[in-house]
Amino acid sequence: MLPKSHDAMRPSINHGHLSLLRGARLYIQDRTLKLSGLSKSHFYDKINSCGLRFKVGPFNIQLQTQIRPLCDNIYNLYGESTLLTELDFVDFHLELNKPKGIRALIKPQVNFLLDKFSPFKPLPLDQSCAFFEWGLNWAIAQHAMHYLIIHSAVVEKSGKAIIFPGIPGAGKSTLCAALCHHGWRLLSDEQALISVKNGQISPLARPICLKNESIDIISKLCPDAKFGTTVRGTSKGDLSHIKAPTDALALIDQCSKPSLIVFPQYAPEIAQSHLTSMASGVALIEMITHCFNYTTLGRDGFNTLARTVKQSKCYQFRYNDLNDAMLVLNELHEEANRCDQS
Amino acid sequence: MRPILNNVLKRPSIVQSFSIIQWELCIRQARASNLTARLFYVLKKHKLTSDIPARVMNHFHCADVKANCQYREIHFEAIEITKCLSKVNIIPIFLKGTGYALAQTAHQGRTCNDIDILVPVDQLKAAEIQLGREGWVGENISTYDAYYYRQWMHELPPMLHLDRKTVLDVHHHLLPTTVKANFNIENVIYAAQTHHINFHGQEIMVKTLALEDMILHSACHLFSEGKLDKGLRDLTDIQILLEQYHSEHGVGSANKLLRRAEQLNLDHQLMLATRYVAALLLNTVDLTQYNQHHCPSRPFATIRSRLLDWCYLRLIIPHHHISKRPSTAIATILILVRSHYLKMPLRLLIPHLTIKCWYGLKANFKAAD
Repeated sequence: MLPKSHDAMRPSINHGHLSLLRGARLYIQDRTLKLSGLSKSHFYDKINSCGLRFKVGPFNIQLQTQIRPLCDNIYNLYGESTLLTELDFVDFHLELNKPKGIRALIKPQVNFLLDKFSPFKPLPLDQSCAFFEWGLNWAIAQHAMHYLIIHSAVVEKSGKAIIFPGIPGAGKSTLCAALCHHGWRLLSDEQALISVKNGQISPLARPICLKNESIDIISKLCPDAKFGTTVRGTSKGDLSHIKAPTDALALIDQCSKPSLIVFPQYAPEIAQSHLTSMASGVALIEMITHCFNYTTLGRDGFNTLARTVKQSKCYQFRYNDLNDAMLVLNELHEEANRCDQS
Repeated sequence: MRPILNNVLKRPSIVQSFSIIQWELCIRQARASNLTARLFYVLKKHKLTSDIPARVMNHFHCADVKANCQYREIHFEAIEITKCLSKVNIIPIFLKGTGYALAQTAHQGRTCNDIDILVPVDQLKAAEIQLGREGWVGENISTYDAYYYRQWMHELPPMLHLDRKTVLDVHHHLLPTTVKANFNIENVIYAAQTHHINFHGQEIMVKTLALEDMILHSACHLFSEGKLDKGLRDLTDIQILLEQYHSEHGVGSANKLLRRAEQLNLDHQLMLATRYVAALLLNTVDLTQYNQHHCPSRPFATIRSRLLDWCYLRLIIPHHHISKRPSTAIATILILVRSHYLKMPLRLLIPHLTIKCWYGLKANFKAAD
């Protein structure tokens, strides 16, 4: 069971406005326990044996692993996540462990298992941290059909969410990391969860995955970003995750309405950021290619996507410099606000 | 103690008193055995869905959405395959999951991994060539496996569609050619039923097995196979098919079905199927007549049936690690041996197992390098 000592209990904030959060440290009495509230030895005990149960956005997961670097990474990156007890329903029982056999001695590997079922071939052991994130992405995309899931980053400010759909390498994570350290709230870095029922986006607020040069760029631009282990030589190059900002986790239950859809494209050759308006029909067709479960959802998939596109303004966005890009997006946001008020 | 999913299938009303932890285990077991959507159907049928907590409902909803998507896809594939083969005057008969979807029986919450068709053996070559023209190619398997399929099995090596990645099994019989007491497949092909299906405005004729042959095929599949990963799902299929058959044929259904089973030498499999449907599932059909049916010329009948009971009651469980017991492993081996014994005479089986063993070892060494 979880420790009951008072110093292990950290206050968690489940409501309140963003600006309030930044001003003063609010101590709202709450019985929920954060992952970082566990002592390190207790944390290892849990995660190594029966598995650690915690919340990831709207999902409840259980993770069991004995791979030390992965445990450390979880402790560092998921510290603000709410712990669950044995009496909570768990959606995904995950396990990352070394496969047995002679091979383990020569070339150690890691397996990803969902409830003892392994959907992927094993990866080299030093990619464990990335494998956990990829595996969880897969589990969510496969089992959450109450959402239309779009491969995109999502950030929010004053109730208006921007969806950044994009192929890998378009620069959506870099943009997302920069924005959510400069006044925006992180909803998701990888998957936009749009409710089929009401069209609202549920925050996932998982660590943001940065690749190759982006790691350096963001560590300079956002000195308060907390980096996890850097994994080298994956199929996507070097990558490192940064911890989701505290405010993103504090407001984890607060859904958001999609207002802007921006297709980002990092373009080193251009001098200035360039924003082009997109017809909603074109945006819809383009969005379909970024969905994980559009086909599976059938009619619901189309209706949800159409509703999202209809209520949003759509743009193509080519950018080079992040500071400039943030300026443009802030202006866009203010303009959308003005439009709403008038 | 029986797995929780078995308990629910036997007595669905127990979910009314389920704690969230029991729900969790139930969902895990259903998910591991491809039964979530089917279980949802069972609960809907018994009007028990209002007892499902929201978090659990998400999983049922997910399985339901996936099953519906597959139902649409199956119709699309069935039309593509029927059209493709009609160019060389072959009418395929759709089997198992695809057949259920087209015939609208036991399709509720049913998912499948591949499409199975049956064509007459003298048209097999022509069918393979024609399917090849439209993008179906043989999956990458070893030369020995390919030889084994063509020489001894009742189907071609699995085919894969190059664009859509759908897997297709082309059968020319329902049982391997090496089975001792086999039946004449023409009998089954002759009895096949035709359905007119409407897919996005186009009407097309497709064929499936007759309902009684569907039941017998499912039973013979379940009780001749060595692997029972999907045993529980297959048994629920049989239960729904039996219900449909009895409601269509009324009094004397059991006699009719038994007569057909005897004709195809599948009465023992039918007897086993009904026996375990009665034992393991909530069932509204009177199955006593099947269970009283004695197959003649079987020495040690009581010991045999006790042994089979011991095995099958341990194996028709969710394909999930929490439901397995130490004795499950013994039962698995016994049933595997039985299935091979039924499938092949020893003079074929021993060389086959030796070769498979050798290839397995070789692959292991390669992996370790």
